[in-house]
Amino acid sequence: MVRVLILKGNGINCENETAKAFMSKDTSVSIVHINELINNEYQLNDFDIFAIPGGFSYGDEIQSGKILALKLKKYLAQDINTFIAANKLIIGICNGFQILTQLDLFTEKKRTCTLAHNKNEKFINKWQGLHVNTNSFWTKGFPAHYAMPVRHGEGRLVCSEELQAEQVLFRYDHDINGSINQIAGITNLKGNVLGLMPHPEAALDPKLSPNNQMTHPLFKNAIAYIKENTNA
Amino acid sequence: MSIYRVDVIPKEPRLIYENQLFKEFAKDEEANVYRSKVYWIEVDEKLDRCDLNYMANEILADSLIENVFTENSKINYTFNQFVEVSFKPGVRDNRAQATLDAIKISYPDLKINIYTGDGYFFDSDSDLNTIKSFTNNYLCNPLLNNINIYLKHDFENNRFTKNKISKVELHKSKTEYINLSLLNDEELIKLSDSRCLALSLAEMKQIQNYIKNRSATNEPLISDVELEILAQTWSEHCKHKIFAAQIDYSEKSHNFKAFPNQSINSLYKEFIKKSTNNIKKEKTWLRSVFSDNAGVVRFDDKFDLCIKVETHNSPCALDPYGGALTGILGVNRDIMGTGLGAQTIANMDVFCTGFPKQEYPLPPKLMQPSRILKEVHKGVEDGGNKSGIPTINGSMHFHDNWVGKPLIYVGSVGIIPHKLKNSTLDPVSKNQKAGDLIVICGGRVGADGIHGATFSSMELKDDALSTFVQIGDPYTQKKVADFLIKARDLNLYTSITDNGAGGLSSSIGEMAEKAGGANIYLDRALLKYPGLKNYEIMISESQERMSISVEKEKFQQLQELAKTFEVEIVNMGEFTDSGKLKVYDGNELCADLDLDFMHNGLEQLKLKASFDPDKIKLSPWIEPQKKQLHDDLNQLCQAVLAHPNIASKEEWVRQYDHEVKAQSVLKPYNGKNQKAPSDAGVIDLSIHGASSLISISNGLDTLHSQHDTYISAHYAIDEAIRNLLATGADIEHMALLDNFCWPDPIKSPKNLDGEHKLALLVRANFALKEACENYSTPLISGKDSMKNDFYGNDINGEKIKISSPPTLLVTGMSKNKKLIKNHFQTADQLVYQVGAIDKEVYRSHLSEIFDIDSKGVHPFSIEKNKELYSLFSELHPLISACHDISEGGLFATLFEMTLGDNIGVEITESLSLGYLFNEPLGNFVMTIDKNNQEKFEKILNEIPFKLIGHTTSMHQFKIANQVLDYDLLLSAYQGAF
Repeated sequence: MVRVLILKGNGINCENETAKAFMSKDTSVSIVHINELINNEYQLNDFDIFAIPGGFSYGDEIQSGKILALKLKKYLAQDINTFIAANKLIIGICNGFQILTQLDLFTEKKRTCTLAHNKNEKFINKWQGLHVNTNSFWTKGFPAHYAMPVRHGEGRLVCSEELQAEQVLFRYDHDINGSINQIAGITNLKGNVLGLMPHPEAALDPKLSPNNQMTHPLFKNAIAYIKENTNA
Repeated sequence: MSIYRVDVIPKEPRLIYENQLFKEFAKDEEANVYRSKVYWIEVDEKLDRCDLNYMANEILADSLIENVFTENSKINYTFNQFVEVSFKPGVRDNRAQATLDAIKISYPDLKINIYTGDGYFFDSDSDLNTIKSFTNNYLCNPLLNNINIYLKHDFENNRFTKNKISKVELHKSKTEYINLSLLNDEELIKLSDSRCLALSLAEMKQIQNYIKNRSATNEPLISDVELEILAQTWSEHCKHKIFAAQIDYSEKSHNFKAFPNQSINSLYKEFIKKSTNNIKKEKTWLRSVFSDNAGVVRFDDKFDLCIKVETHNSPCALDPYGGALTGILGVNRDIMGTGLGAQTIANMDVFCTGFPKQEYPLPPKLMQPSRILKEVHKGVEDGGNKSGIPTINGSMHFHDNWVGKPLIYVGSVGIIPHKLKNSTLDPVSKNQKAGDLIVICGGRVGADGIHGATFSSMELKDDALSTFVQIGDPYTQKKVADFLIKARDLNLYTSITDNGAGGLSSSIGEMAEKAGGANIYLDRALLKYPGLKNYEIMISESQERMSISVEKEKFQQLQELAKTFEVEIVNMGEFTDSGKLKVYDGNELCADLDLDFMHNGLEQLKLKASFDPDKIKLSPWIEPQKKQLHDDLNQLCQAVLAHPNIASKEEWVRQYDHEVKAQSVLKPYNGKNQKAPSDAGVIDLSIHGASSLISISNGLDTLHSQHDTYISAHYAIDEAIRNLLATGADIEHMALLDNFCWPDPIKSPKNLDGEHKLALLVRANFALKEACENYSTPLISGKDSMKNDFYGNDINGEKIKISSPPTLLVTGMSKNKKLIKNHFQTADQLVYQVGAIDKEVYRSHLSEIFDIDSKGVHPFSIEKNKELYSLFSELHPLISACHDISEGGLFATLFEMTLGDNIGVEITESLSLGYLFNEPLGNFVMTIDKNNQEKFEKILNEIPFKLIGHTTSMHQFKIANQVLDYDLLLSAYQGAF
């Protein structure tokens, strides 16, 4: 079984739909409160996929994702590094992506990527067309153009160094928030940490899309990757 | 004690949201205003430089995009002035709390306080007064904030030496005792007024009597704690005295629908409750109506749904952001406190304000509607988004008389399983009993929100105090919500209710009634800061708190769970069977009240209602301007679409997360273009483990309310119902909620038309009962707010009163078996107008905008409408799109239907103005496939309908041979705000 840990607590709020997105006959999915990880009631290393769902951790105060990242850094930095080194998968969606950029998981150097306030200073909720780079295992089987809901106030990616082309998996099909190169989702160089602002967990059911768009394979791909690369 | 200041300034200047506004305000096109953040760190001892740097650089700022300043230096911005906005002492500062949490991660043992503020760099030649007045008008609220203005040089060199933090002042005496028997009538009234008790002389005398009898031997003293508890419990807000009053209704001569003179024992019992009782038998799915914090209905074989709508008008008048935020969080707590606790799954909002583009000559203390709208919207945005609850439905309405008090409605829907995993208790029940502990969960108590319940039971005056106002904290509430659902599923408590208006005095007062009594120990309360008086602790409406009853042996487990979820809980006492509410401060018994007196001691009000529309007109406080009627259909259509009641609210709605939880099937704006507005929000409950869909809608009328509320109420109900039908819901499973916001309906020297306004309230209830019984749609929950008036002085210093139009919001919820979309999705569909529309022009938005003769209310028959509505289950399989005809008439309805999928419409013959723009009840546009024409028309049978045209692949709006200028229509529709 592929073991999936869905983080909750401290204002995360998409844990249920993210858990549902991972549920299959090949997975066992646990929704775990961050303090249950810190207290050692659960061990990160007992899992294969670590998902940080969307939400408003610590009410987005100071900067979105900032405080929860400080907490993860203080208590779980070593576990997270081991997790990545073991070629397991981390996905951060929306607030989860913001947290991952605060943890500096996408580049070698510290503080080279961050997510800032949308250029027009407004929160935005709409279905947004995305150009998909299908060369990654995450996006295998995606059409080149695919829409997902975006729901964020701080989704403008700012980078002080250029990202490698293979790191960029999703771009908005037009500029919705001022994000550099219209980037919507990226991986680390190794490819096993994915962060994206759009919500793939809310794009699985064609009924939910504005035009009955077919479902996508992102979560299945992640599960398949673990199955192929470990003994899960 | 040392204080350190940290300025966090974006590397790339961030213009404020209100930048354009400032240019206009200062008449300075070149001006710009940039934002920054300020933090003050207060520590007992000195802070090590290296710790300060760590805090500033690693916690408070992001070095990639922000610079941090902890000492004097040049700022790389062009600016002349810097304005600092900070919170007054005692006002909730969410950023400070989160910062404290952040610092505690690295410094768990450091004794530390945080204060925060917003900084604004003004690059403008404007003088100090302009900047100050702009700041007061748009960037802060003087009730809540302090402002500090620096010139550039002063800011760069002296700001670190000016650190001064103001704190809440401490009180000395904790409980006061008053000898009521010594007070005469005048003094009793004075006592009520000066303490903001909102009690009448009769009520004060009842209390005087009670205290006299209670203390036959001793001095008849009442503590301020007791007096305040009674004032909260007996407030109009909590007790709904007007809806419970005995009313003598009579009518003077008039041309409206006549009703016989009658004596009404209680509007609530005789109309609202009775209409539901009369149809209850056939509605087996009603679970709990009018008794809990929300109405509960059975949804399927696994789940019940609950729904509640609240108003937060008075708080929003003073602080629109905080008022709306605490409003939405408050109604979420109603859901959290329904039964043994429901999970909130959807929010909705309805705003009624003055016209947002109009600058009114307002009394000095009132805010312009543009600001109110912007801030209440932000409040609902933050409340929903930060709680992970989608805002799925809502509307905005505009009227000149809503400048005095805006009406801000907020609603929520929750889901409760039929059976809890670890418990045999009915999830829709309350089970507190003597011996259970009284446990308060969540936020701490402060002096904020004192007297909310009594204040909202009074009219708004221009000398209102800031203690009424509060800012909500969605983050804390989200933690509390997560914790309580877990605690519910572990069977750790026996009953739950929310702490809202009236604070502990209301929540524990109500819970104690069922348990049989309660002892509360105020010295155990968790306070935001020391020095609160006992009565303040008892009635404070400090937010994000829930009250639960807990069996003693489960308290420890509850505490452990609370620790994991980072929720503070405290055992405040226990429920008893003494029949009394006893409140202690340590050993001092500071309140000892009989529950029977608290809850049943209030005498019924006796009021007169006299319908006198010929003599008494509820006219707007300023004369509305009407336009000359055009001949050009293009211009007429544009003007109608640009009316703020009709125009697109998409820009506002997109800032609400309306899709979190991955359940929103019909969103506020739909179609490939995501532009076509929906009639109702439709959500798919399968994500929660339940079957199928529900539709949620609202109906509110602005055209008829000032003339006859009997008509206006019918409009509100009919719109709520039609909105549900148009999305595929069936009338069999509809539940409705009533929500009255009225101008003061009690006659007094300053309110001479009170009897007429009460008659308007009665007439709205006539309509409500009539319609609900006719359609068999039960009312399951309701709310009323009765003092929506503003008293003050206008700009010339003259006394002025601005009363809200009498307004009824009806909210509808229904099962939805087949989703119907409200916009055209394919070409070559037949387009029908279904229902009866007259050719003459009746009262409508057209007649509001243009100077045109109109014939009053369009005729309607609710019996005929019922015939149509009951056909919907047969019609639904044939309908490819359906949209109700409401504001803006047939024209606006058709136009909205073209917005979703680039499908146009061609109307075959030219239509009269009345037919195009009337807004009658009971009407829809429906489209069907040509093949279904015979079947469709056969089902409709005797219902009036008209085949008016067809949809086209060309994205256009064509009437007879005229193609309207679509781009201009679109920009009128989208450019109203």
